[in-house]
Amino acid sequence: MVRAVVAGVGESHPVRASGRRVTSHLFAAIDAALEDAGISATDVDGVITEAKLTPTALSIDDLVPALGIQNLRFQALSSPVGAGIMLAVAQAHEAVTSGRATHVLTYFGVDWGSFGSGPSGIHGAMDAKREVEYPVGFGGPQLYFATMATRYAADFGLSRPELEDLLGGVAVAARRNALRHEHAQLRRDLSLDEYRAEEFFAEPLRRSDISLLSDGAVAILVSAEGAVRPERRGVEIAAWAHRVQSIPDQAFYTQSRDLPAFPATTAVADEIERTLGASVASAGVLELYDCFSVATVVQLEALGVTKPGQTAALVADGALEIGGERPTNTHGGLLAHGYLLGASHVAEAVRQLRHDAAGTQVEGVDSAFVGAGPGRQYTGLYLRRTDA
Amino acid sequence: MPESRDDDLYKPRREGLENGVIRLTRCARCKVVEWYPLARCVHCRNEAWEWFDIDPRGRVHSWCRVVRPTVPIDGLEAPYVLALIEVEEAEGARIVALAEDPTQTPMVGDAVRLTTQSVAGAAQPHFVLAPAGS
Ligand SMILES: [Zn+2]
Repeated sequence: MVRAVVAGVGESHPVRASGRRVTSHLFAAIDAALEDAGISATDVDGVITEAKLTPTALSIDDLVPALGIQNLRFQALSSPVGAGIMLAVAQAHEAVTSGRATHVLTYFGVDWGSFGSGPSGIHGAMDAKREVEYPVGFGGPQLYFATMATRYAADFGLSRPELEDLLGGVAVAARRNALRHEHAQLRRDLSLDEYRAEEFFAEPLRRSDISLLSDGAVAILVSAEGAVRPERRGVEIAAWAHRVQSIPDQAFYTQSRDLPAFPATTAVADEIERTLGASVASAGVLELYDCFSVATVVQLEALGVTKPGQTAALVADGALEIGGERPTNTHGGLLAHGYLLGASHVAEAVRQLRHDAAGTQVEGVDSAFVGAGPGRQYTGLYLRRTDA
Repeated sequence: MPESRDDDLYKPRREGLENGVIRLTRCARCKVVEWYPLARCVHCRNEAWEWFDIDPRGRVHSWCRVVRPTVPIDGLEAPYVLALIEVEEAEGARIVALAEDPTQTPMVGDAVRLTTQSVAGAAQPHFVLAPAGS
């Protein structure tokens, strides 16, 4: 079997409103990833991307001739949105290790900061949501996660002030981490008191509990170890897993009987531990899909990093910040770095493991877990230095 | 109860709401409640769904108070309270409903009665907290 490495990372860093179309960000990120890996577009022989947003943003059919790829021998669409971005990278790993391709490009970008309807547009296109939820004002993920947070607090006996401290603690850590990242979109400190003074958007969620809107793109290149220069052989995908709960996307946030638990996320953690022989919690940094502050909380618990209902103590200690015992979303995440649906999380993890992070380096880190869902589907990547 | 048609699946639901009843879908053959309806019944492989009237008693699964609306609705002034109401008689299916009294703060587990009220010219599910002991 061929050893696969994450050889190239390219970013068009997130900004609120660039006025540029997503294709412009995507080509910038892809060019940067190829340059980072030290290969040219003609070397690329595989392309895999997220299945829902990317086919209309920049299809593989349009990308291949635009890059001048001459020898495409592997292509695939993974699954929708965040979990799909991670799954594309995982599938690239599989394509390379199986020998089906040598250099597999994955890419993802959005221009929701300038043009799109954002995530509400995706959710509004589902018929049950349009018929049943929107007419009473129950629109989009913000309200799903608000009701989830309230249910979480009730299940674990958290008072309203305790829930406020928990969510606020996650939001503050994201902002503190973003403050150190030279390309983060929101570099403004936030104190817990300032957080508490914010008005509710959807009680119990405030402005700082909610992800940003961004323009930007990320490209990740996975290559055969022997096909790239030695300094790009340093990071590999040591394990990965993907799971889907058997419920339609449109029903998940109102009808899943397991809420506020996330069985797909837990199953991913279990499979990683089984295949790797090490738990998700063993990773030196965690980069978790934090569309809302509460998403970080439920993920930490579903992944087994904290015990159910017990995340508050960890958050109160500042553990999620760089320098804390459990550095999480070291770039600031979707809450403060930018809303690229998890693509930047992968880029940040790779830079952490190269010991080349942009102001956010966690000292001596040699493993990272990156995960996205969390919801009906989840994908986790456990990345490791090849010298670890 | 009429079987649903693909071209306007939710019409019986809207007609029910106008008559003060809330309807959900169940398999037309094995009668298992599936809300929202799937492409096919997982239990008996039947592809047809039928609508049935639910008992209007339920419990608050969770709730939120919307201060900044994410979808604008004519005549629905923020802040308003939305809840997911779990209906035991319907195998735990949850109804998204507006609080009739937006100043109320529900609690998870509260017993409620489902009602219908007009929102933007169409009847929609609402709830009121049930008196203790009911
Ligand atoms: Zn059936």
